[in-house]
Amino acid sequence: MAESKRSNADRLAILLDWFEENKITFNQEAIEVVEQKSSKRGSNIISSDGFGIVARRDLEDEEPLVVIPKTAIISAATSALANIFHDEELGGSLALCIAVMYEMSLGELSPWYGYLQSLPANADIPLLWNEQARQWLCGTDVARWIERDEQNLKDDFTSLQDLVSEYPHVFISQNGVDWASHLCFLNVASLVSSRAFSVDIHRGNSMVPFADIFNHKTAGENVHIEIENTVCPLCGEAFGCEHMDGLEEMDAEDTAEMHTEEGQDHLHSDCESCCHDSEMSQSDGDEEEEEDQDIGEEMPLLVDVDGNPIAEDDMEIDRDDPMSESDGGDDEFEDVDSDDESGSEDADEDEDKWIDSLDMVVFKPCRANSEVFNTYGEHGSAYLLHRYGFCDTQNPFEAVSLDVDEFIKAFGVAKSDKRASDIADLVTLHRPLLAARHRAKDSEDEDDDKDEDEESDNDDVGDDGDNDEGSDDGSVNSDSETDDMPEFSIDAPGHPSTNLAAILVLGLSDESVFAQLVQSSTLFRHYFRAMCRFWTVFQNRLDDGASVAAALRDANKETTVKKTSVALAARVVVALSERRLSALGEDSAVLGAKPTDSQQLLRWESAKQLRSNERKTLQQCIKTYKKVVNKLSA
Amino acid sequence: MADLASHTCQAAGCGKPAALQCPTCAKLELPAAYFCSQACFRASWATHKAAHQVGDPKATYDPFPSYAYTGPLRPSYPLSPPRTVPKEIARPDYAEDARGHSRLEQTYGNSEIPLMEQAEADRMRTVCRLGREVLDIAARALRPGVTTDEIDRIVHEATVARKAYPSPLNYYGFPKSVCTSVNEVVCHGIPDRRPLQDGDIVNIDVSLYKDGLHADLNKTYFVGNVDEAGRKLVKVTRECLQRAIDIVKPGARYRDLGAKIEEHARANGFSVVRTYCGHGVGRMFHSAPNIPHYAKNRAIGVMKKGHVFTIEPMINEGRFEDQTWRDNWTAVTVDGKRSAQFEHAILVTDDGCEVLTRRLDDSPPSQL
Repeated sequence: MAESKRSNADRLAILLDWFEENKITFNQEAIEVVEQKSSKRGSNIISSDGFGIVARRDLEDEEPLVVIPKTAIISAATSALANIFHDEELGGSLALCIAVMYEMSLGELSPWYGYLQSLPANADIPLLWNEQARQWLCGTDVARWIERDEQNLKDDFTSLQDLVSEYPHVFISQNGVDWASHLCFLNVASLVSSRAFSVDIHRGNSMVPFADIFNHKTAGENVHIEIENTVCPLCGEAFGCEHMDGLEEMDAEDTAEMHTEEGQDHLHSDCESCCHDSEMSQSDGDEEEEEDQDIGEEMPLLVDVDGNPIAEDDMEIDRDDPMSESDGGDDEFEDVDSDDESGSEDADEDEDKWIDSLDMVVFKPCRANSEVFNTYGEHGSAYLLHRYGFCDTQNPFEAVSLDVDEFIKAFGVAKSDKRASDIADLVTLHRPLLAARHRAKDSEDEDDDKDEDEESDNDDVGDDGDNDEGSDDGSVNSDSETDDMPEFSIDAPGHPSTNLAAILVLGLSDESVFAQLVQSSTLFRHYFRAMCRFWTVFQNRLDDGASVAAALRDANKETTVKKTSVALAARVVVALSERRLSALGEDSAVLGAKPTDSQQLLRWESAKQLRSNERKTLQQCIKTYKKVVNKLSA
Repeated sequence: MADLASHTCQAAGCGKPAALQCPTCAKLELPAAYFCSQACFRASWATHKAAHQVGDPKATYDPFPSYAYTGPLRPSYPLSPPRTVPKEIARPDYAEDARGHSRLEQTYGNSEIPLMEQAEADRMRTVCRLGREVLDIAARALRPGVTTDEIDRIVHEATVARKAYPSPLNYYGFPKSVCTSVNEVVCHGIPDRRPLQDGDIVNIDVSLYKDGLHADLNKTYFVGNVDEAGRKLVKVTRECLQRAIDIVKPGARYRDLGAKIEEHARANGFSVVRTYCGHGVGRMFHSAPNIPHYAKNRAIGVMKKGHVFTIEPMINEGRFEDQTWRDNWTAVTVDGKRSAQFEHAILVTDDGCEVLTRRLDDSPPSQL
């Protein structure tokens, strides 16, 4: 736990030493880590821990700034407690939280002491707000999410207590960590929520020293984080581990088996790769001979009949033989640390060995003496406030959630109860396909074929092009797999998310059309995508300033949708938005007078900002789509 | 004197007149093998070298004459023919695999540390006892003049006599039934025709498989009169192992073992090998946890009752780094100075641990 008596300057000094010891390197002539004297207001960021990154000179695109070896991160999978998590089937944010608390409890004996002591006691996320402050969030998305968080937190804390009583030798309350304290757990959970990065499929969400010092700016960040995502899920190695060998061998066997199972009809000549492989795996000859020439008894140089070595010129060397240059005689100097393939671990000291690391790289140039920002992802205000504890003034990725049940009820009103119930089923069935995406991505990312078959919960690996923190739903202690209902929202500047709009059109269609969608998944998928494309064009054109008619015309080039259908969908959009707006409530009623306490004041202002952002987005949507209704119903 | 004109090249499909011969065959006093050129020799090498497997113990050669050996030790080929294990003896999964790969080991992850309940732990205790018996038998045979291949034969036969399979045999292609590591060899030495010499230190690493479980243990022994420095190295290495064992108990972290080992090694001017680690042992020859022997490592795992693993520090007189001979197994110190090792298999108990491979009542007395 952060020792409150130590000054920021001291904490920073210890942290910098720790970076050096753990081979976290940064370009010291390009950037520096500074203490921030006060929390900034009026700009987009709030510094929660007193540190930030400042450019010492102009930074150029694609410059590498920081290299963080993966060995320096804290993750559940690489933690000392990894086997306990495995045996007790604990994972996700809870496991990470426990791993962090454990290292904290070891005090100076922890290899991460230097890093942990630099962290603040907590992050002021809404989950930590008192009752009064939470009231200010009434009607917003955050209010809804906190309710769910509370339950998750309770469950997680119970799991933790069970764990602690099961392993008394492991969980010892010391060095500021009290395993029985709900507050202690909550504080660490808030740090994990606001600072963890999704690293790779083995490590999952992890604490990444240095990377978590960068503050966030929405749509204007200077750096991105680059990570080698493809690692072995069993051991986390980036290349050539024995698990990978095992998988390759199993694949080769499967292919060989398939081949023979096909029976006599399967012609060898028709199947080059399959046959070739199975022959390779059966033959003792060529492959092993190749290997034997590198290892095993060395082939000597021939001698004459009296046993005397002969001059090189007299030997007939075949010029076409690629091996004739190196017959083993030139290895005068062996590498000091040669690779051993017999399952051993490479030495840490070998400088030539490639180190798996996270790299922070410049994405957008930064001027000298300006703060250098990272992005925490393309998220709306509610998500940012909920997970990180701050709220931007403007956010091009704004998203105001609509309750799924509300949304489905709308069909009950517009069509029939049966229709509503069918829609509910469809939504559940096609969950991965319906996962919310930003409009920009919809137009780029057309091949969703694999979405249906793969699990939707591996959001941790990151969205296309999003090399930043995992896009889990934002709740502190739940993972994406517990919250897989698709998110329907009203997005900046004021449009229904395309999945919402698409479902509206499909769900409001005539019985004859709708019946087909219910029956055929393929048809549903096809039409859904087509609708998404339609709405993307339509919304983009409206944002460009086109008239409703022009926008409709252009969108119809993509996919034909009748004017009346669009109008009907727009009507429902307006209704949903108005409902959501009224649920938000009036600021004057909810916010009350400005508080005097500084912490409460910060919270009050964040809540106010969030309400304002949500309201603006909803109002813009209502305005836009009322116009759509008018223009198309004339 | 050989009649030049009458020799033709041995390479398949060649038939040209040959005036050159294989030097190894000459050295081993085998019938001369004639080739017209180095190219033909190379083409035939894979099959030809099998001819070098001869029975006469005095006929030995260095199979890697151009390799820059780091110390005085040389391999002494040919290796003896592969030893067989009677069919009735149950084999581990890698025994029959062409490349000696263990499918079992390839499917388990880092954090899955096997847990032994009472019954399995009891069986493990028995198998480890057998391992200890075999090691003791090998130790009793040590004296100047005995070859490491002879030790291999003794270990192999003692193992089979106990209806067990010698774990090293074919493990990832290892050719013999025991590892014998002399002087500058850090570990994984292959038994060959070299006779042990007065003054050598030799590590014998015995592993055997019975009842579905592997035992694994090793000790470094003195051959004849070993100098002061060598004795100190071996003694300190044994102490390093003991210091690590002393902190084993439920809740202890695997990553803390290395600190104890390195602290003691350094205090005596020695270094700790980093490449090879202790490991979980039991149903698999090598499983999680992975246990580095050096300080400040980030090993995963805390100890629980029922964990079984080895601690096997390799301590060097000089630099810590190691490299591997061209046989792809024998690990040697980069500076040619000596290395010693000790290994035990340890079971974590309710409040401490049990050394499953500890000495028996009739084990040879300690040389330290």
